[in-house]
Amino acid sequence: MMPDRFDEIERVCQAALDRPPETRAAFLDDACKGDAALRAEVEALLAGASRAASLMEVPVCVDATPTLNAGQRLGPYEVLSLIGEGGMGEVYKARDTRLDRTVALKILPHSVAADPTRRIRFEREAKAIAALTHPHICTLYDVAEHDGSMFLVMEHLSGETLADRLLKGRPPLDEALTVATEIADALAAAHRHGIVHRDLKPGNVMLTKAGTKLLDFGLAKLKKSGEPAALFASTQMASLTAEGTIAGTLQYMAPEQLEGKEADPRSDIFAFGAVLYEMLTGRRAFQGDNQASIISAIMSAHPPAVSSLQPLTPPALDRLAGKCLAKDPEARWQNAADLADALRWNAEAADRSASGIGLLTTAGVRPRRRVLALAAAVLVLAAVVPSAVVWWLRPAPRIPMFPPVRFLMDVRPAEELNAGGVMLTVYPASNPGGSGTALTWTPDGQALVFVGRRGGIQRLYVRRLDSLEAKPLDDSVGAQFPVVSADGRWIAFWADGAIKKAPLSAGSTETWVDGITQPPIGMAWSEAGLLIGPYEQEGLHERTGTRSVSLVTSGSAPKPVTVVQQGEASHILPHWLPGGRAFLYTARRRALSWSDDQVFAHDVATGARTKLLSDAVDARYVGGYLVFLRRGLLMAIAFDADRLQATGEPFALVNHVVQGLTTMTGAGQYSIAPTGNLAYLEGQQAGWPDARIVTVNRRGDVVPLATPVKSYGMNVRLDPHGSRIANSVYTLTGREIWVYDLEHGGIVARLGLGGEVSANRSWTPDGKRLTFGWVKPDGLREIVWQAVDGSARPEKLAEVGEPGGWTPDGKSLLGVRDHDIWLLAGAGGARPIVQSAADEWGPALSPDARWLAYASDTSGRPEVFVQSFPGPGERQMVSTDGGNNPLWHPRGGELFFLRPPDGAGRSQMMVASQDPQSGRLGSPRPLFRFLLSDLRFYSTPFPGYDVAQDGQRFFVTQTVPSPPLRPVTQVNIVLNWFEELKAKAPATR
Amino acid sequence: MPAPSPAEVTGLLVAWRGGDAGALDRLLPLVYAELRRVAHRYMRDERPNHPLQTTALVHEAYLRLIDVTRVDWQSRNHFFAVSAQMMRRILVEAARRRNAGKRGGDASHVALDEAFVPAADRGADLLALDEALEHLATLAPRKARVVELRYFAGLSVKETADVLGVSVETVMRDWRMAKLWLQRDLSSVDRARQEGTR
Repeated sequence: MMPDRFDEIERVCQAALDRPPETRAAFLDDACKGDAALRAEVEALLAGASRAASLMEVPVCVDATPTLNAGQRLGPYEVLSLIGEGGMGEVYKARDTRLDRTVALKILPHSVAADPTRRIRFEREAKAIAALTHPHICTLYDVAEHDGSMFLVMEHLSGETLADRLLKGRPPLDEALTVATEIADALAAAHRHGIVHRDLKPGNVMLTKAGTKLLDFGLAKLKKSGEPAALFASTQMASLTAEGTIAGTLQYMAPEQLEGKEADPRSDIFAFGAVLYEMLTGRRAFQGDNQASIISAIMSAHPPAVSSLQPLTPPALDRLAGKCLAKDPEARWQNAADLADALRWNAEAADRSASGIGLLTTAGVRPRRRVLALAAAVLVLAAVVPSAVVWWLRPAPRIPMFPPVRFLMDVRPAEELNAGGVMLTVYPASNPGGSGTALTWTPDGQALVFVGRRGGIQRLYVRRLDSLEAKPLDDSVGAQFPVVSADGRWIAFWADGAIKKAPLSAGSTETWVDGITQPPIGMAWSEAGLLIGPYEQEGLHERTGTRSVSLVTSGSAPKPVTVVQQGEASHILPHWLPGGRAFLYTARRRALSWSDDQVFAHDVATGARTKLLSDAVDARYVGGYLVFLRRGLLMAIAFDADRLQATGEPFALVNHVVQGLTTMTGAGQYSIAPTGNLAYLEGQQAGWPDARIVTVNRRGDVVPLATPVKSYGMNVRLDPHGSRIANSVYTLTGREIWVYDLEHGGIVARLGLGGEVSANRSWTPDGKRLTFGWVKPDGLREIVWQAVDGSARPEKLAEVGEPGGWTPDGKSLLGVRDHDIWLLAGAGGARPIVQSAADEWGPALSPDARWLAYASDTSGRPEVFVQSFPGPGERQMVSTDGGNNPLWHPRGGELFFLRPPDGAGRSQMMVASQDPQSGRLGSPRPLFRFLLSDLRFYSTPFPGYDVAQDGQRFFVTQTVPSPPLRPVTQVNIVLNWFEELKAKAPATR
Repeated sequence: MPAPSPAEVTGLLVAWRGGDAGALDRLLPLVYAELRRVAHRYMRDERPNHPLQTTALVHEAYLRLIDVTRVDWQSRNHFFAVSAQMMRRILVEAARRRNAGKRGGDASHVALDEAFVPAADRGADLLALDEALEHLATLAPRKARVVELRYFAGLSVKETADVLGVSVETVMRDWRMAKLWLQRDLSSVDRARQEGTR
């Protein structure tokens, strides 16, 4: 069937479907008049309509298969067998090959490993747990990672769980007391180290030959806080309830935990009481058929006294268990060590035959409670008169009249500032990195808030100028984009999928705008509301996002307020102007660079915008000036904030101010307090990864050229004489083509300036011009050519397609368009030459112009084909096991191509000889192997390499591993910088 | 393969969108590897035999691979378009292998594709569908793309429309017609199979 016929069938079909079923027959009579075949075709299709409706209604699914296999190695650990599947994940028995000991591996849920913030929290907690060595605690040896998933390496225990033991019936009293004492000892040791178990239950107690071992300390916190992403919520909930995981765990949970309060040591004591009760009586302390009834029992029911069920139980033990199970944590045992002592006493007393036990309950408890009460009173006092925050409430001091003072401030106790460098080098990042400004003054200019990192944990720090060290802000782990409210009392920031706010003094963090999955690019806060730059938000069913600036006023959802215009990529980095009537933002015009960025003022009431600056990023207003960045140079211009008008000429202030430590947002790492203090980071921006141009011979030996190391594009092109080489170079301000002279050295030309050139280019046969795809400064794309000597502007050849090489006569440009091979421009205009339903790409014409080689995936994977040019003629498949990127020997007779990479990124250079008479190519043979991540031969639709004139060497780019970014440990401070600014040019008032 | 950084992958995606077709070739193996990684992880979290929709895989891979602060909507759509093709190839290959009752290729490939076993009993359907889809692509390429995006990447009608740069109405009509067409093709395959066994 031809596509035209299909279109006809469809037209009739769609029209029929748009009509009520009963009128369709009549419609078809009319529509298919005289074309019985058409009618038959349409009727056959319509007949399946009801079955078709349910076809593919649910997207295709994949099944789960086991995670690890015996014999598999995870770092030093060799998997032996699957032991079981807990609520937390699979547990494997494994061997630590370094120490030759048996260990247990517990694979953690992906939700933990994938979320950097949660991961940091978990790793910290795991470190504390690993520090616990106690005979009755299962030792955590290590938290390790393999292939992106995290797992715990624990002591391997053999024995049964207490849950299994209880299934067999109530243990004898002495055994129960021994187990209980050992558990209490383990809890006491953990509590001393500040670790709460949170999920103590019989299933977490192992009975081994070496005694009782308590498992899974602190992991419950993971599970509780491990809410699945909304996208998967339903499936995860289903699996949890289906397995009864929640119901099983609930029965030992303290009332305060069920209320959602933070668990403390006394919550463990409640759980311990429930376990003890069960050991003593053989029945659960709190029972119910479903979750609701269990919860209700825990919250309000008092289980019958142990002695009422087991009359022989010593009354002291009865009271001891009852005191564990008190609803009010204050009424429980306050401390597991006391409890352990009491149990020991009971056990000894039981040995001696029960007597005199009634004394024990008063031992050592009262004095401790008094101390606690006193501590609590002090805390309350501190909250009522928070001396630490008094200065926030003071009016901002007047601008002092003394000369500017400069100094470097270190970031102690943080180890580095922001440390966003992680993003470019390692992934998964151990913190969220930094896409935005990492520092901000408080409005009084007396304290600097910055994003610091210590021990791998990123959080906010507040450094008062009159103190020696910064203070970490609690509950700000993973924070980015700190902004302080105008009254200096609150701080807002992005962390952990939400915009949060917290009192700057002390107090708990609250979520302000939830579901912001990635940090917005810029935030600003004043009485007029919170402005946020582009962000993504996760809703119940889908993610939405914006490219413009949004406004959040109290309690409202973010509302986009700016409108991204044609030729703009996004609106970022908003900053309020005084009075909140208008704000500034940066309009980005390029996705990859910030050369063309413009600063606008947006009038909130009218929605009108005024262009203020070109080639400027991250402008902010201070005392009659706009201060902004232009490629690392901090500049200012006098500015009338009422008329939204810049006056005078821009002037330079400070050079080498860092823009966006790691990402390409261009956010300026500087802050100016209304009082005139400046803080900034000095340094260079992070750029694109580097590469060098090298030659590789037929054996695979690599020799670098003398050309500089740069961020090159992949496609190296030799000129027809083999004396010059062209490649694209990525810079922070764009992408251009650099041409090197191979014989005499040095750069001979730079083309495509001011735009972004695409990766593919070719020389004209006379070597005078280069042809390339180009995104012009106005954002539109076209294929152009330009004289290499730069004597003329780029000249347009075509609008669509990716340019390949020219025919040797220089009359036609070969290329790829719509997944087919075309003559894109030149004699005869644009027309396809190899066209099929499959994809064809990478056309390469033999030097005598008689043979066309190209790649096609017609067989389902890339293979190299050769056919006579311009055709017609049969095509020969040259590759036998996949092939791509064919190129001819410049003198003919041989065709080179690449084997498609395997999963590990390995590929191979192949060569096939051509019979001069028939044009047939012989069997390909391998030349050398290489890694894609090292030598960048492989590229689509055109090869990353080119072939030297003698066919003995290949020119290609090689990746240069980039050194880690140096950590930022100091902030440049200029007090009273405003005086300096005023001295340079009068402000507009 | 080491896990790529979002900055790197995002750079490739943006570069590809900007016309650097070479970037796609470096992007594909990364997307493939990530889809596989994500699938593995979900297997760890989900119970065995709990089927997992590819929608989840594709979205998750996107979130993990792409620095979303640096890409616009169109780039995101490009990513989904690539992933859809990838999922289709992966699943069809897996189904083909399962049908053949053996695992072809070298050891590293077995390990890679282990993660993608099409849900039980769908193997044969999937191969037939793939074939029918190939046929449809020669007659109405866009309709075949609609099916790929909706069925293999689980994109919504709106997302599909964004990817293809057409209206929601067009996608709905394409989808309706494609289903009719494939339904007929598939039932004729069924018939042929039944006759073959007789």
